[in-house]
Amino acid sequence: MEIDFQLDEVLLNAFTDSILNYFQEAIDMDFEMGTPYLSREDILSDYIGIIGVSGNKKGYVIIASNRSALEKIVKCVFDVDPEDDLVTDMAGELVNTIAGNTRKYFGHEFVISAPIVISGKFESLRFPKGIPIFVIPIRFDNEMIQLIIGLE
Amino acid sequence: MENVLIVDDSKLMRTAIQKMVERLGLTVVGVAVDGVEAIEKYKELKPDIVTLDLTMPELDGEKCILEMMKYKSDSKIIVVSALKDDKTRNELIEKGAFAYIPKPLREESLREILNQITGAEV
Repeated sequence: MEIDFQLDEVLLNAFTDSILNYFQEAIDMDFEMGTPYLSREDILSDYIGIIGVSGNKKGYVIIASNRSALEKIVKCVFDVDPEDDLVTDMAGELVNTIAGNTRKYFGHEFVISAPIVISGKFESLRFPKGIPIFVIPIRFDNEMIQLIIGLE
Repeated sequence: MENVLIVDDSKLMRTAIQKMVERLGLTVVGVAVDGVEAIEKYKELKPDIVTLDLTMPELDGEKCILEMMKYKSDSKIIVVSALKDDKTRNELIEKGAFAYIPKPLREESLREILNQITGAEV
């Protein structure tokens, strides 16, 4: 696979900035963003929040997280009890905010869908063929969530 | 006392915004989970203030603003959205939104806008 490093740097900068913004503004906890890496492995997690992207970019942006990480974010950001449906919504809310905030970089033609949240497994084959799929690990309070970006 | 209608397809956001609005001393008269329900509740409840999500099933927030403005144009619509770009904000203000708050939503941002609307320290 040929990788356009310049294009990918712009893409990754937009998403890392968006993650930083979310964790600094909304979550009052220390966090660490790991180095992005390429992966086409299937995503297996308690909660998978998916945003479809169309317009000037096409593909998916995904958050994969276990339940305890989302429960901590629900309590910290919204100060509400982490009931089942609120934890599910948190996965959608997180990926929606991180993807939506990148419009600052990608402009008005970067169109995102309403988030859908599934439990279990997302097959990476659903990503458009021939594009790099990046994973950005985010660690906080002994938890790890992953942002997965597959956009052409 | 200003009455508030909360429109968001996420129960998490509806719950969080309702708590914020009530902490600020305003009354939540209704909630809606999509654009179609939002228009129905808007006509029925005639709220002074609406908090409105943009990306929703059925009828999106942008179309909701146009419908709401046709029916009753003096409500103050506060758009709460993850879509963070100036063009989106400017277009929504042009269509009739009173304010645009980018997510992640912070209570201070909502309080500032509500203070402008009510003319009081809430």
